[in-house]
Amino acid sequence: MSPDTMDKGTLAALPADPHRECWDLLPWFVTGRLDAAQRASVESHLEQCEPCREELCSQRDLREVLAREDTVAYSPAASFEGLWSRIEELERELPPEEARQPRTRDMNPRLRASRQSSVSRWLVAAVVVQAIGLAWVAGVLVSDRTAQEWPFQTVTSPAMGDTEIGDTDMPRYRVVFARDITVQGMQQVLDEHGLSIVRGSGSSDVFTLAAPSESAVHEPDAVLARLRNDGRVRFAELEPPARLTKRD
Amino acid sequence: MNSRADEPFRPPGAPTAAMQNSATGTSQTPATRPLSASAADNERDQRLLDRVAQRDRDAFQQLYQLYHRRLARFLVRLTRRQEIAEEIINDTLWIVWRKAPEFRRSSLVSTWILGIAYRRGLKTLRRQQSIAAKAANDDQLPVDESISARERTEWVERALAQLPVEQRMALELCYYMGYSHEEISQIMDCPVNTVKTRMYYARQKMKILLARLER
Repeated sequence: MSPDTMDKGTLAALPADPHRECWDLLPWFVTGRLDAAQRASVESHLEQCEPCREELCSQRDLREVLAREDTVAYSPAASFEGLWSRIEELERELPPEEARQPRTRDMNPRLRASRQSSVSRWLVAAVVVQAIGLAWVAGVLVSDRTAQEWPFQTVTSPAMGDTEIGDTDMPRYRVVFARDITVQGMQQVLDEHGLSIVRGSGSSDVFTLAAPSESAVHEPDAVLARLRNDGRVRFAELEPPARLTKRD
Repeated sequence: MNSRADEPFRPPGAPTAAMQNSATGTSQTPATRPLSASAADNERDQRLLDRVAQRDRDAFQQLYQLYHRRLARFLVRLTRRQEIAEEIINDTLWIVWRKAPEFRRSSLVSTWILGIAYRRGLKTLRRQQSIAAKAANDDQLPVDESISARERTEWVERALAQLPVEQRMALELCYYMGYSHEEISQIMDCPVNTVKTRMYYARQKMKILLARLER
Protein backbone atom coordinates (compact mmCIF):
# COMPACT_ATOMS: atom_id res chain seq x y z
CA MET A 1 0.00 0.00 0.00
CA SER A 2 1.42 3.40 -0.90
CA PRO A 3 1.72 6.10 1.73
CA ASP A 4 -0.84 8.19 -0.08
CA THR A 5 -3.44 5.46 0.00
CA MET A 6 -2.67 4.85 3.66
CA ASP A 7 -2.93 8.51 4.46
CA LYS A 8 -6.38 8.72 5.98
CA GLY A 9 -7.33 6.95 9.11
CA THR A 10 -4.45 4.52 9.16
CA LEU A 11 -3.13 5.61 12.51
CA ALA A 12 -6.56 5.67 14.06
CA ALA A 13 -6.96 2.02 13.16
CA LEU A 14 -3.75 1.00 14.90
CA PRO A 15 -3.91 -0.37 18.44
CA ALA A 16 -2.57 1.86 21.21
CA ASP A 17 1.18 1.49 21.07
CA PRO A 18 3.41 3.67 23.27
CA HIS A 19 6.31 3.31 20.87
CA ARG A 20 4.28 4.37 17.86
CA GLU A 21 2.62 7.13 19.86
CA CYS A 22 6.01 8.49 20.92
CA TRP A 23 7.36 8.14 17.38
CA ASP A 24 4.45 10.13 15.97
CA LEU A 25 4.76 12.92 18.51
CA LEU A 26 8.53 13.39 18.22
CA PRO A 27 8.36 16.29 15.69
CA TRP A 28 6.27 18.34 18.11
CA PHE A 29 8.47 17.24 21.00
CA VAL A 30 11.35 18.74 19.02
CA THR A 31 9.47 22.01 18.50
CA GLY A 32 8.13 22.13 22.06
CA ARG A 33 4.51 22.06 20.95
CA LEU A 34 3.21 19.15 23.07
CA ASP A 35 0.98 19.55 26.09
CA ALA A 36 2.27 18.45 29.49
CA ALA A 37 0.75 14.96 29.39
CA GLN A 38 2.04 14.21 25.90
CA ARG A 39 5.47 15.55 26.80
CA ALA A 40 5.64 13.39 29.93
CA SER A 41 4.57 10.34 27.96
CA VAL A 42 7.22 10.92 25.30
CA GLU A 43 9.96 11.58 27.87
CA SER A 44 9.06 8.44 29.73
CA HIS A 45 9.23 6.32 26.60
CA LEU A 46 12.46 7.92 25.39
CA GLU A 47 14.26 6.85 28.56
CA GLN A 48 13.78 3.22 27.63
CA CYS A 49 13.79 3.26 23.83
CA GLU A 50 17.05 3.62 21.92
CA PRO A 51 15.45 3.78 18.43
CA CYS A 52 13.22 6.65 19.54
CA ARG A 53 16.24 8.51 20.96
CA GLU A 54 18.02 8.08 17.62
CA GLU A 55 14.92 9.29 15.81
CA LEU A 56 14.80 12.30 18.11
CA CYS A 57 18.37 13.23 17.12
CA SER A 58 17.53 12.71 13.48
CA GLN A 59 14.45 14.94 13.71
CA ARG A 60 16.40 17.65 15.52
CA ASP A 61 18.90 17.65 12.65
CA LEU A 62 16.13 17.84 10.07
CA ARG A 63 14.39 20.60 11.93
CA GLU A 64 17.64 22.57 12.15
CA VAL A 65 17.94 22.60 8.36
CA LEU A 66 14.26 23.24 7.68
CA ALA A 67 14.07 26.08 10.18
CA ARG A 68 16.85 28.02 8.49
CA GLU A 69 15.84 31.36 7.11
CA ASP A 70 16.03 31.62 3.34
CA THR A 71 18.05 34.36 1.73
CA VAL A 72 15.45 35.63 -0.73
CA ALA A 73 14.77 39.36 -0.49
CA TYR A 74 11.10 40.24 -0.57
CA SER A 75 9.49 43.58 -1.35
CA PRO A 76 6.04 43.46 0.22
CA ALA A 77 5.45 47.19 -0.31
CA ALA A 78 5.50 46.86 -4.10
CA SER A 79 3.42 43.69 -4.00
CA PHE A 80 0.88 45.37 -1.76
CA GLU A 81 0.48 48.27 -4.16
CA GLY A 82 -0.23 45.80 -6.94
CA LEU A 83 -2.86 44.05 -4.87
CA TRP A 84 -4.43 47.30 -3.77
CA SER A 85 -4.77 48.49 -7.34
CA ARG A 86 -6.50 45.23 -8.16
CA ILE A 87 -8.89 45.60 -5.22
CA GLU A 88 -9.77 49.14 -6.22
CA GLU A 89 -10.50 48.07 -9.77
CA LEU A 90 -12.70 45.18 -8.64
CA GLU A 91 -14.57 47.25 -6.10
CA ARG A 92 -15.56 49.81 -8.67
CA GLU A 93 -17.95 47.11 -9.84
CA LEU A 94 -19.53 46.64 -6.40
CA PRO A 95 -23.14 47.66 -5.78
CA PRO A 96 -23.52 51.19 -4.35
CA GLU A 97 -24.79 49.89 -0.99
CA GLU A 98 -21.54 48.00 -0.48
CA ALA A 99 -19.49 50.89 -1.68
CA ARG A 100 -21.05 53.04 1.05
CA GLN A 101 -19.49 50.97 3.79
CA PRO A 102 -16.98 52.91 5.92
CA ARG A 103 -13.62 53.13 4.25
CA THR A 104 -10.40 54.58 5.51
CA ARG A 105 -8.19 53.35 2.74
CA ASP A 106 -7.23 56.83 1.59
CA MET A 107 -5.70 57.75 4.92
CA ASN A 108 -2.22 58.07 3.45
CA PRO A 109 -2.31 60.74 0.69
CA ARG A 110 1.36 60.32 -0.22
CA LEU A 111 1.00 56.61 -0.88
CA ARG A 112 -2.20 57.16 -2.78
CA ALA A 113 -0.75 59.88 -5.00
CA SER A 114 2.25 57.79 -5.97
CA ARG A 115 0.07 54.78 -6.56
CA GLN A 116 -2.40 56.66 -8.76
CA SER A 117 0.25 57.76 -11.22
CA SER A 118 1.46 54.20 -11.84
CA VAL A 119 -1.99 52.70 -11.68
CA SER A 120 -3.36 55.05 -14.31
CA ARG A 121 -0.76 53.90 -16.84
CA TRP A 122 -1.67 50.29 -16.22
CA LEU A 123 -5.35 51.07 -16.42
CA VAL A 124 -4.97 52.68 -19.82
CA ALA A 125 -3.10 49.61 -21.08
CA ALA A 126 -5.67 47.27 -19.54
CA VAL A 127 -8.58 49.13 -21.12
CA VAL A 128 -6.98 48.95 -24.57
CA VAL A 129 -6.33 45.21 -24.26
CA GLN A 130 -9.83 44.56 -22.96
CA ALA A 131 -11.39 46.61 -25.74
CA ILE A 132 -9.59 44.52 -28.35
CA GLY A 133 -10.68 41.31 -26.63
CA LEU A 134 -14.28 42.41 -26.29
CA ALA A 135 -14.39 43.46 -29.91
CA TRP A 136 -13.25 40.00 -30.92
CA VAL A 137 -15.79 38.30 -28.64
CA ALA A 138 -18.49 40.58 -30.01
CA GLY A 139 -17.66 39.52 -33.54
CA VAL A 140 -17.93 35.86 -32.64
CA LEU A 141 -21.23 36.30 -30.80
CA VAL A 142 -22.84 38.33 -33.53
CA SER A 143 -21.79 35.93 -36.23
CA ASP A 144 -22.87 32.81 -34.34
CA ARG A 145 -26.16 33.84 -32.86
CA THR A 146 -28.88 36.16 -34.00
CA ALA A 147 -30.35 38.76 -31.71
CA GLN A 148 -33.59 36.77 -31.57
CA GLU A 149 -31.83 33.89 -29.83
CA TRP A 150 -30.69 36.16 -27.03
CA PRO A 151 -33.58 37.89 -25.31
CA PHE A 152 -31.40 40.37 -23.46
CA GLN A 153 -29.03 43.03 -24.59
CA THR A 154 -25.35 42.35 -24.28
CA VAL A 155 -22.31 44.49 -24.54
CA THR A 156 -22.42 43.63 -28.21
CA SER A 157 -26.00 44.77 -28.70
CA PRO A 158 -26.26 47.73 -31.07
CA ALA A 159 -28.71 49.61 -28.79
CA MET A 160 -26.54 49.30 -25.73
CA GLY A 161 -26.59 52.37 -23.56
CA ASP A 162 -28.27 53.00 -20.27
CA THR A 163 -30.01 49.67 -20.73
CA GLU A 164 -26.79 47.74 -21.11
CA ILE A 165 -28.18 44.86 -19.05
CA GLY A 166 -31.05 43.36 -20.95
CA ASP A 167 -34.52 42.49 -19.89
CA THR A 168 -34.15 39.07 -18.29
CA ASP A 169 -34.88 37.33 -15.02
CA MET A 170 -31.98 34.94 -15.42
CA PRO A 171 -29.35 34.96 -12.68
CA ARG A 172 -26.19 36.80 -13.49
CA TYR A 173 -22.67 35.83 -12.49
CA ARG A 174 -19.75 38.16 -11.92
CA VAL A 175 -16.63 36.48 -13.09
CA VAL A 176 -12.91 37.21 -13.26
CA PHE A 177 -11.13 35.08 -15.81
CA ALA A 178 -7.60 33.73 -15.41
CA ARG A 179 -5.00 36.34 -16.19
CA ASP A 180 -3.48 34.35 -19.01
CA ILE A 181 -6.73 33.38 -20.68
CA THR A 182 -6.95 33.97 -24.40
CA VAL A 183 -10.00 35.31 -26.13
CA GLN A 184 -10.58 31.84 -27.56
CA GLY A 185 -10.28 30.40 -24.06
CA MET A 186 -12.82 32.90 -22.78
CA GLN A 187 -15.20 31.91 -25.55
CA GLN A 188 -14.75 28.24 -24.63
CA VAL A 189 -15.66 28.98 -21.02
CA LEU A 190 -18.79 30.80 -22.15
CA ASP A 191 -19.81 27.96 -24.46
CA GLU A 192 -19.12 25.21 -21.94
CA HIS A 193 -21.17 26.88 -19.22
CA GLY A 194 -23.92 28.04 -21.56
CA LEU A 195 -23.36 31.66 -20.65
CA SER A 196 -22.81 34.90 -22.45
CA ILE A 197 -21.30 38.25 -21.50
CA VAL A 198 -24.08 40.69 -20.64
CA ARG A 199 -21.82 43.38 -19.30
CA GLY A 200 -18.19 44.01 -20.07
CA SER A 201 -15.44 44.50 -17.60
CA GLY A 202 -14.98 48.23 -18.09
CA SER A 203 -11.67 49.15 -16.49
CA SER A 204 -11.72 46.12 -14.17
CA ASP A 205 -11.46 42.40 -14.84
CA VAL A 206 -15.04 41.62 -13.79
CA PHE A 207 -17.37 40.38 -16.49
CA THR A 208 -21.08 39.85 -15.91
CA LEU A 209 -22.42 36.67 -17.47
CA ALA A 210 -25.90 35.22 -17.84
CA ALA A 211 -27.65 32.36 -19.61
CA PRO A 212 -30.33 32.95 -22.23
CA SER A 213 -33.83 32.89 -20.73
CA GLU A 214 -34.75 29.88 -22.87
CA SER A 215 -31.73 28.06 -21.57
CA ALA A 216 -32.17 24.83 -19.68
CA VAL A 217 -29.77 26.19 -17.07
CA HIS A 218 -31.90 27.28 -14.14
CA GLU A 219 -29.78 26.22 -11.19
CA PRO A 220 -27.60 29.16 -10.32
CA ASP A 221 -25.83 27.37 -7.45
CA ALA A 222 -24.79 24.55 -9.74
CA VAL A 223 -23.63 26.96 -12.43
CA LEU A 224 -21.72 28.94 -9.82
CA ALA A 225 -20.08 25.78 -8.47
CA ARG A 226 -19.00 24.76 -11.95
CA LEU A 227 -17.56 28.21 -12.61
CA ARG A 228 -15.65 28.13 -9.34
CA ASN A 229 -14.23 24.72 -10.17
CA ASP A 230 -13.15 25.88 -13.60
CA GLY A 231 -9.42 26.50 -13.62
CA ARG A 232 -9.84 29.26 -16.17
CA VAL A 233 -12.02 31.26 -13.76
CA ARG A 234 -10.29 33.00 -10.88
CA PHE A 235 -13.38 34.36 -9.19
CA ALA A 236 -17.11 33.85 -9.57
CA GLU A 237 -20.11 35.01 -7.63
CA LEU A 238 -23.81 35.53 -8.17
CA GLU A 239 -24.76 39.11 -8.72
CA PRO A 240 -26.70 40.22 -5.63
CA PRO A 241 -30.49 40.36 -6.13
CA ALA A 242 -30.62 44.00 -5.01
CA ARG A 243 -28.45 44.92 -7.95
CA LEU A 244 -30.70 43.00 -10.30
CA THR A 245 -33.77 44.69 -8.94
CA LYS A 246 -32.29 48.10 -9.23
CA ARG A 247 -30.98 47.62 -12.71
CA ASP A 248 -33.99 45.74 -14.01
CA MET B 1 8.70 35.73 17.49
CA ASN B 2 8.25 38.87 15.51
CA SER B 3 6.10 41.67 16.65
CA ARG B 4 7.07 44.27 14.07
CA ALA B 5 5.94 44.24 10.48
CA ASP B 6 9.36 45.23 9.14
CA GLU B 7 11.28 42.47 10.89
CA PRO B 8 12.12 39.34 8.92
CA PHE B 9 10.31 36.16 9.83
CA ARG B 10 12.27 34.05 12.29
CA PRO B 11 11.44 30.40 12.60
CA PRO B 12 10.44 29.38 16.05
CA GLY B 13 13.34 28.56 18.36
CA ALA B 14 16.81 27.43 17.45
CA PRO B 15 17.59 23.78 18.01
CA THR B 16 20.73 24.75 19.89
CA ALA B 17 18.43 26.15 22.57
CA ALA B 18 17.14 22.71 23.32
CA MET B 19 17.60 21.75 26.91
CA GLN B 20 19.29 18.41 26.98
CA ASN B 21 18.55 15.94 29.70
CA SER B 22 21.91 14.80 31.09
CA ALA B 23 20.85 11.17 31.21
CA THR B 24 19.12 10.72 27.88
CA GLY B 25 19.53 13.99 26.00
CA THR B 26 15.85 13.82 25.33
CA SER B 27 14.20 16.75 27.04
CA GLN B 28 11.70 18.63 24.99
CA THR B 29 12.90 21.80 23.35
CA PRO B 30 11.51 24.83 25.17
CA ALA B 31 8.13 25.70 23.71
CA THR B 32 8.65 27.59 20.48
CA ARG B 33 5.46 29.15 19.27
CA PRO B 34 4.85 29.94 15.63
CA LEU B 35 4.62 33.52 14.54
CA SER B 36 1.28 34.94 15.65
CA ALA B 37 0.55 31.93 17.83
CA SER B 38 1.02 33.73 21.12
CA ALA B 39 -2.04 35.29 22.65
CA ALA B 40 -0.54 38.77 22.30
CA ASP B 41 0.32 38.33 18.63
CA ASN B 42 -3.03 36.78 17.86
CA GLU B 43 -4.74 39.70 19.58
CA ARG B 44 -2.68 42.10 17.49
CA ASP B 45 -3.64 40.19 14.32
CA GLN B 46 -7.28 40.10 15.41
CA ARG B 47 -7.32 43.86 15.99
CA LEU B 48 -5.87 44.40 12.53
CA LEU B 49 -8.40 42.02 11.03
CA ASP B 50 -11.25 43.85 12.76
CA ARG B 51 -10.06 47.07 11.15
CA VAL B 52 -9.68 45.32 7.81
CA ALA B 53 -13.31 44.25 8.13
CA GLN B 54 -14.10 47.97 8.37
CA ARG B 55 -12.23 48.49 5.08
CA ASP B 56 -9.23 50.15 6.72
CA ARG B 57 -6.46 50.30 4.14
CA ASP B 58 -3.67 51.02 6.62
CA ALA B 59 -4.61 48.01 8.75
CA PHE B 60 -4.72 45.86 5.64
CA GLN B 61 -1.28 47.06 4.65
CA GLN B 62 0.09 46.26 8.12
CA LEU B 63 -1.42 42.79 8.02
CA TYR B 64 -0.04 42.29 4.52
CA GLN B 65 3.48 43.20 5.62
CA LEU B 66 3.23 41.00 8.69
CA TYR B 67 2.29 37.97 6.64
CA HIS B 68 4.06 38.53 3.33
CA ARG B 69 7.39 36.95 4.25
CA ARG B 70 6.04 33.85 5.91
CA LEU B 71 3.46 33.34 3.16
CA ALA B 72 6.22 33.72 0.59
CA ARG B 73 8.37 31.08 2.25
CA PHE B 74 5.36 28.79 2.76
CA LEU B 75 4.15 29.12 -0.81
CA VAL B 76 7.58 28.79 -2.40
CA ARG B 77 7.90 25.55 -0.47
CA LEU B 78 4.47 24.53 -1.73
CA THR B 79 4.71 25.55 -5.39
CA ARG B 80 8.51 25.58 -5.86
CA ARG B 81 8.12 28.76 -7.92
CA GLN B 82 8.76 32.26 -6.60
CA GLU B 83 6.62 34.10 -9.16
CA ILE B 84 3.64 31.84 -8.59
CA ALA B 85 4.00 32.19 -4.85
CA GLU B 86 3.83 35.96 -5.19
CA GLU B 87 0.58 35.67 -7.13
CA ILE B 88 -0.96 33.33 -4.56
CA ILE B 89 0.04 35.69 -1.74
CA ASN B 90 -2.04 38.41 -3.33
CA ASP B 91 -4.91 36.02 -4.04
CA THR B 92 -4.80 34.97 -0.40
CA LEU B 93 -4.74 38.49 0.99
CA TRP B 94 -7.48 39.51 -1.41
CA ILE B 95 -9.65 36.78 0.10
CA VAL B 96 -8.66 38.01 3.57
CA TRP B 97 -9.78 41.52 2.57
CA ARG B 98 -13.15 40.22 1.36
CA LYS B 99 -13.78 37.65 4.09
CA ALA B 100 -12.45 39.53 7.13
CA PRO B 101 -15.98 40.36 8.38
CA GLU B 102 -16.81 36.63 8.32
CA PHE B 103 -13.87 35.47 10.46
CA ARG B 104 -15.42 33.74 13.49
CA ARG B 105 -12.36 33.59 15.78
CA SER B 106 -12.60 29.81 16.04
CA SER B 107 -8.89 29.57 15.22
CA LEU B 108 -5.79 31.73 15.27
CA VAL B 109 -5.78 34.45 12.66
CA SER B 110 -2.52 33.00 11.36
CA THR B 111 -3.93 29.48 10.90
CA TRP B 112 -6.93 30.97 9.09
CA ILE B 113 -4.71 32.90 6.69
CA LEU B 114 -2.28 30.00 6.21
CA GLY B 115 -5.27 27.73 5.53
CA ILE B 116 -6.48 30.05 2.78
CA ALA B 117 -2.98 30.19 1.31
CA TYR B 118 -2.66 26.40 1.46
CA ARG B 119 -5.93 25.84 -0.40
CA ARG B 120 -5.13 28.50 -2.99
CA GLY B 121 -1.67 27.01 -3.42
CA LEU B 122 -3.01 23.49 -3.92
CA LYS B 123 -5.53 24.75 -6.45
CA THR B 124 -2.80 26.51 -8.39
CA LEU B 125 -0.56 23.48 -8.13
CA ARG B 126 -3.23 21.22 -9.56
CA ARG B 127 -3.59 23.56 -12.53
CA GLN B 128 0.14 23.62 -13.11
CA GLN B 129 1.34 20.16 -12.23
CA SER B 130 4.36 20.43 -14.46
CA ILE B 131 5.71 23.34 -12.45
CA ALA B 132 6.64 21.28 -9.41
CA ALA B 133 8.48 18.72 -11.48
CA LYS B 134 10.40 21.38 -13.36
CA ALA B 135 11.25 23.30 -10.21
CA ALA B 136 12.71 20.22 -8.60
CA ASN B 137 15.68 20.65 -10.91
CA ASP B 138 16.32 24.35 -10.54
CA ASP B 139 16.10 25.20 -6.87
CA GLN B 140 18.18 28.18 -5.89
CA LEU B 141 20.87 27.69 -3.29
CA PRO B 142 21.50 29.96 -0.34
CA VAL B 143 24.58 32.06 -0.99
CA ASP B 144 26.18 32.74 2.34
CA GLU B 145 26.60 29.45 4.11
CA SER B 146 29.56 27.20 4.61
CA ILE B 147 30.03 24.45 2.01
CA SER B 148 28.95 21.64 4.29
CA ALA B 149 25.89 23.48 5.54
CA ARG B 150 25.03 24.42 1.99
CA GLU B 151 25.40 20.85 0.83
CA ARG B 152 23.21 19.64 3.64
CA THR B 153 20.60 22.26 2.83
CA GLU B 154 20.73 21.33 -0.84
CA TRP B 155 20.24 17.65 -0.05
CA VAL B 156 17.28 18.42 2.16
CA GLU B 157 15.79 20.69 -0.51
CA ARG B 158 16.17 17.97 -3.12
CA ALA B 159 14.65 15.37 -0.86
CA LEU B 160 11.79 17.69 0.04
CA ALA B 161 11.03 18.26 -3.63
CA GLN B 162 10.42 14.55 -4.03
CA LEU B 163 7.81 14.33 -1.28
CA PRO B 164 4.09 14.53 -2.04
CA VAL B 165 2.97 18.09 -1.47
CA GLU B 166 0.87 17.24 1.62
CA GLN B 167 3.84 15.59 3.32
CA ARG B 168 6.20 18.41 2.36
CA MET B 169 3.87 21.05 3.74
CA ALA B 170 3.27 19.12 6.96
CA LEU B 171 7.04 19.20 7.56
CA GLU B 172 7.20 22.89 6.72
CA LEU B 173 4.29 23.81 8.99
CA CYS B 174 5.79 21.82 11.86
CA TYR B 175 9.49 22.58 11.60
CA TYR B 176 9.65 26.02 10.03
CA MET B 177 6.34 27.55 11.05
CA GLY B 178 6.28 25.78 14.43
CA TYR B 179 2.60 24.90 14.45
CA SER B 180 1.17 22.15 16.67
CA HIS B 181 -0.51 19.12 15.14
CA GLU B 182 -3.94 20.58 15.96
CA GLU B 183 -3.08 23.86 14.27
CA ILE B 184 -1.71 22.06 11.22
CA SER B 185 -4.91 20.03 10.99
CA GLN B 186 -6.84 23.32 10.88
CA ILE B 187 -4.62 24.77 8.18
CA MET B 188 -4.69 21.62 6.07
CA ASP B 189 -8.35 20.97 6.85
CA CYS B 190 -7.81 17.34 7.83
CA PRO B 191 -7.91 15.21 11.01
CA VAL B 192 -5.00 15.35 13.45
CA ASN B 193 -4.26 11.67 12.75
CA THR B 194 -3.85 12.50 9.08
CA VAL B 195 -1.30 15.15 10.01
CA LYS B 196 0.63 12.60 12.08
CA THR B 197 0.46 10.09 9.26
CA ARG B 198 1.72 12.62 6.73
CA MET B 199 4.57 13.50 9.07
CA TYR B 200 5.34 9.83 9.62
CA TYR B 201 5.71 9.08 5.92
CA ALA B 202 7.47 12.37 5.24
CA ARG B 203 10.10 11.49 7.86
CA GLN B 204 10.51 7.97 6.52
CA LYS B 205 10.96 9.19 2.96
CA MET B 206 13.32 11.98 3.95
CA LYS B 207 15.51 9.45 5.70
CA ILE B 208 15.68 7.22 2.63
CA LEU B 209 16.21 10.10 0.22
CA LEU B 210 18.88 11.79 2.33
CA ALA B 211 20.74 8.52 2.73
CA ARG B 212 20.81 8.14 -1.07
CA LEU B 213 21.91 11.72 -1.65
CA GLU B 214 24.63 11.63 0.97
CA ARG B 215 26.13 8.44 -0.42
